Amino acid sequence: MDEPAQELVLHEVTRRFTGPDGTEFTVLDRISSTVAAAETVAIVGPSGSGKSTLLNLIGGLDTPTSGSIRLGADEVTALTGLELARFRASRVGFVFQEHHLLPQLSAVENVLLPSLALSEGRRDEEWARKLLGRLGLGGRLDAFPGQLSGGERQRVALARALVNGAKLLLCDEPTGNLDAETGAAVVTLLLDVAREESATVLMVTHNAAHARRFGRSLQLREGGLTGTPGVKDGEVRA
Amino acid sequence: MSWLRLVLRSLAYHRGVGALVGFGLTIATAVVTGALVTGDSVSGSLRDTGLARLGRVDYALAAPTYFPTNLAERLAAEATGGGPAVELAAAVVTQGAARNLQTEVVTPGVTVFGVDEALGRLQGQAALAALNGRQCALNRALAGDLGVQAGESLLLTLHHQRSIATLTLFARRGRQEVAPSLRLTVAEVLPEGGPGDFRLNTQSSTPRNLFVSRDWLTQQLGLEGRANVLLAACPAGDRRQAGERLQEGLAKACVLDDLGLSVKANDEQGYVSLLSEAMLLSEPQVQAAMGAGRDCGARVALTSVYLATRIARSAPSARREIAYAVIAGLEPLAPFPGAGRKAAPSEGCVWVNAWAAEDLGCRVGETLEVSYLVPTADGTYPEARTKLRLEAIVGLSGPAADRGLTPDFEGMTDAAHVKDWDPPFPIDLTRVTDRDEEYWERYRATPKAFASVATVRAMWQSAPTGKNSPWVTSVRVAPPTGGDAAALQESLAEALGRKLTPQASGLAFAPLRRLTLGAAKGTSDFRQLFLGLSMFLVFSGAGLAGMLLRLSVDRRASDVGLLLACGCHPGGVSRALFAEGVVLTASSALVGVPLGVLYAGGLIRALGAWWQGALGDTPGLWLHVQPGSLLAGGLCGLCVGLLVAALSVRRLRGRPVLELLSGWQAMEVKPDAGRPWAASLLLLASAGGGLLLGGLAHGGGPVAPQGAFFGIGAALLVAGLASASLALRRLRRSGGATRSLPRLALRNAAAAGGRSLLTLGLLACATFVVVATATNARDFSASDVTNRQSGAGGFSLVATSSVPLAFDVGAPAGRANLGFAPGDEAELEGVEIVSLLASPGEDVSCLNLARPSAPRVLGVPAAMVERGGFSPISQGRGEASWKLLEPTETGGAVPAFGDAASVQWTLHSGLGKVLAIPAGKLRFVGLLPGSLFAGELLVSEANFRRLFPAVSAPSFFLIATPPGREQAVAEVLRRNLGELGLEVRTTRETLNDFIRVQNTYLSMFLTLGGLGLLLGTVGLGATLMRSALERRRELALMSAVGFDRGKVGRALLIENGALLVAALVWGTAAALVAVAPHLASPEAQVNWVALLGVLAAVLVLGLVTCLGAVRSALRGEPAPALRRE
Repeated sequence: MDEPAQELVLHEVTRRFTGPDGTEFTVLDRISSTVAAAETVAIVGPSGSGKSTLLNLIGGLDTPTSGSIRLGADEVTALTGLELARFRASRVGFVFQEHHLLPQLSAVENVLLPSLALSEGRRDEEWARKLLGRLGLGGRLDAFPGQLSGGERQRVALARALVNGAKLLLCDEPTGNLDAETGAAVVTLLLDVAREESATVLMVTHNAAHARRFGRSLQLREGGLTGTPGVKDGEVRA
Repeated sequence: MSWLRLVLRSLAYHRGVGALVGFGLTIATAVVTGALVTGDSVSGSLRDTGLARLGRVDYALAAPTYFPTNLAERLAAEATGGGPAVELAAAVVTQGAARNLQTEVVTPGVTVFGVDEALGRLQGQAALAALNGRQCALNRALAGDLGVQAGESLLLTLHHQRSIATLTLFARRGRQEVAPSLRLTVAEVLPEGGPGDFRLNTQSSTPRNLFVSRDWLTQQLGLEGRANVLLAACPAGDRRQAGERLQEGLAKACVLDDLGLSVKANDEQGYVSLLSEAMLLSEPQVQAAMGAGRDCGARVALTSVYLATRIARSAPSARREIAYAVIAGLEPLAPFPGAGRKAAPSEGCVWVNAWAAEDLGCRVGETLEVSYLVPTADGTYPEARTKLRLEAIVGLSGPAADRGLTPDFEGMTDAAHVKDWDPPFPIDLTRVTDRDEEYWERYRATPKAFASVATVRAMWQSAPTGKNSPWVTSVRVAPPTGGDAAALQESLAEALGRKLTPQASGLAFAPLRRLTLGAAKGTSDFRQLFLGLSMFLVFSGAGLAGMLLRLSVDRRASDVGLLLACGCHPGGVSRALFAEGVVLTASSALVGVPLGVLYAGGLIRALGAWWQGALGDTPGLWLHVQPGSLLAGGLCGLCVGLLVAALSVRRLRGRPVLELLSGWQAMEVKPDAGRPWAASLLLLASAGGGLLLGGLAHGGGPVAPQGAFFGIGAALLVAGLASASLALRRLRRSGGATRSLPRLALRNAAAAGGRSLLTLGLLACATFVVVATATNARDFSASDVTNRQSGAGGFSLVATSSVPLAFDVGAPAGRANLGFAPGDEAELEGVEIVSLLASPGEDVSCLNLARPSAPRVLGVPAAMVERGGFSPISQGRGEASWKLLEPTETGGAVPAFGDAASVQWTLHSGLGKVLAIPAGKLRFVGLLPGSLFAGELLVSEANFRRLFPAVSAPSFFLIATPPGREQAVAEVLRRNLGELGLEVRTTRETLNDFIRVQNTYLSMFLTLGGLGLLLGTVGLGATLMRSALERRRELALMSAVGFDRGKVGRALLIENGALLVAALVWGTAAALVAVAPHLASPEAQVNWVALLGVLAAVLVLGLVTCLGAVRSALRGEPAPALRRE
């Protein structure tokens, strides 16, 4: 059921917002870039530079003011409401800074939550247990979020992002609330799982050390995107 | 993972909030169910009581006159036909008063039943069948009132309704004749709630019944073999058809005697005549006789006979007279000997027979003066005179010697001599001469004089009953020339039977069982009434559930955002949230329905106590649980819950996923939020609306002052909320929050502007409704009843009499005839008494719980129409004139007045509308607001006499006394008329009786509304607690920067307490403005203690809840909360 990872292409993506006083400000300005299938990319930049906005646009949680985003053959920006929901359910996995685990569900149940979005090809509980086992949570399967540490919660959130076999993982500062050691462990896991699953990973981070562990880094500043050293094939069109 | 598991897990995790939501929904379901079950219980109790009273009786016929008892047997044969047997019993039913001979306690309003074995069988009461002689049986209520037991004696004074109308010359009006007293011994006291409490109408109050042997009673009244009521029991399952057979059978079985009529053949004169026991034939009877005569091919002539007290020659030089001569006005059937070609006396002329002419020594052409007595209400008989020209002297043969022209009258026509006459009017027997006695001996009551029909008609109609009153004493029907009178007698009786149907003569069976079942539905829909009274609790419960569910949904916005981010279908997410609401709602309905039955049990118990105080004789109330009501209550709870759930879920629909993910900033402070122009506009509109209403109500404008003030109060409330909105906005934008703790607290309240305004608005509205309603209670104890425009109409006393008074109690002569001592007149000086005719029927006021089908009607005399008062309202809110009652009909119905509240709420009618009553149709041309006449409808006396010809003496009295003399006057009236069952009460007491029921409902509303307000406060407290929990981080921050817990707590308490106090104060102030005119009136009777108690309880509970919220929010160390930030 799993499809291979696909190339992600951003073309002239712009996102503007309107402030409370009616003035418009541009967060992303005609950004273009291509992320190869199974590539791991860190997105860095100062606060307010539009890192999360970029991730949300790619994941279909937000719509660009102009420009297009394409994953494989599918134009994400052309999808409508229900198509977008289906796109998010089957092709994208999100990991947020806040783990966003439902407190009423156990770790396994939280992992399986995205399967509610699928009418067919749902993962069963056994699959979720194995996934959590691979992430080192084999002994905490039935624990509730309140009983888990920050790192454990973030690992559950990572498993949840992977459960539907998504090949594009969008991680918005998943280590932001974790101490350095736990954060590093989570990044290690993320990259290991991505490699094993041949998944594309885009992760927003403020942590330069974490960023260096990714295949390449993209820097967002004043609405533009620039590649950093080590960039393999990034295109920069400021 | 499945949606079901998610729903169940969520319910389990959020069980705290869920329980509170369920509590609110359970309350709403229980209250709706309880209100419906209470309504069922009241109706069911009324139905049970009514049916138990009926025993086996299904139909009742109450005749306007007495009929032969064998009608029961004749009718039973006709009605049964070949079908199942219909049982019938004839009874005598009348009203009276009973006196305990030991204690002198008098109980008025006693219904006296003369019963026989057949009725005893019908009611399954062997005790009734066994009564004989002076034995009587009492129902428990009467025995209790009188304080008598079996074996003890009592004196019964009962109304002996005479067949001859009261205000006619031949009516016997003496006290012993219309109200004989009988000494009785109590044989048995009948058990409560059974046929001993039987009544001929459907009124809910317990009657005071006394049963005696019918045969013995009719013997005492000189009515042997007669009865005036027929009761019928039909086989179960055949009731409706049997009812039709009864009415059809009545038409076949009924003979003229049953209608108080007789057809007599006068073989000597060759005609038959139709006569009435009442002496005078009514207009329909006359018309029927004329029609029947014509149908028989006969000649018809009307006769009217009066008694001249004197016929005298007019010329002073030849003063000769004859005394007490019968004068007849008749249409001719045969030529009079000596009258020449004249068939009948010309208008203004008189014929005398030869005997009278000889006594008078008169000659044709001279003028004779005919004197006659005019009956009056006070019992005096002033003499009237008319001058007639002597047109002919007729020989004493042929039609001039017709003894049959004069109807039989006991005490006169049966006397051997004139000197043996015992007439009801004053007579001077010294004026009777030997010649008169000789005439009497030879010719009996043969008229001595003949005049035109119009002349004698004028004599009858000189009585106060007026120009439309009956005047025909017989209708003579002669066969065609050569015909046989005896043969005509039979054919005329048959033809009359066809024309005078029993129904048209007032003989009709009322479907008593069906009416009882209909009446049990109540004057108003009790289900709606109790739902209305409980609605505040329902709203509070639903509001509590709504607020908590909404809060819960708000708090789970990020969960929803996550599900959507994971690609879940928005509809699926909404359905999952809604499913939680469904589960909570269903559980609440399951718990709420049985709780509702318990709630109804409590209400029934409370109602029993409240109504016992307000209505006096309420039947018992029992719980009646109808499956339909349980289902309706449950469904209603379900609908409320589902609506609440749907509205809560709807809040998240369509919101951007990112916004939801971030937790949806429902509490975000937006200094410029809201629309200041909208609030300002609302403020201006409400202020303008209030001023406009004030202007429209000023000086008798088109808006009623009470309504206007309520509108102004409501406008004030809205204006207050608009001002609060502007003030909160101003606070949000102002600085200096840290200058003082209260200022910081107020800034916090302003920050949550929407929620604060909602809190303020809901609480202020609830307070407004509770206070405005609860302060509407009234008490007339201190009101000015001397004001003619008040509800008392300027009368300080009101009286009713069980036995109608045959003489005018308002006039000294009438009182003397009623037996007042001359010394009583001093006490009654300056007293005005207005007497009104009263029909039998049911109370239409709120004191009668059952729905009336035959309302009691009063006949308003012309003097009262002239006097006016009571401020009747006609179309367009203008004052109606009592003269509106005078026309014979208005748009095909008799014009009538009624009490505004009774017409609206009991009769479900209104101004200009037509109400059908058994006697005819009434159209309301005026309404009386808050008047003495809450229990009756009013028509003019002239119209009353047409509608209720059998009622000819008044039994309802309005009494205006000089200031401070009420008790003395009441005492004199009671002393003299107590045995006739005269009940005298102050008008204040009467008005208070009517208002007490309304006050009962207001008390109930205050109790239930107060509970609702308390529940609302608890709900509000719960919301505040959630809000405080949400703000734990903010509170932790305050602690972290050095605020001690006390200060933080005080800030929270001030924030929430200020809202609570402001809402209570503002809602109360607006409500007090709304009811200001009422509060300023002397009738205002506000239970300030109860009201302040409710408000204080709300304040205390609200503050305690806030304190709880504060304590909960400040529990624990601040650091973890801060870390979560």
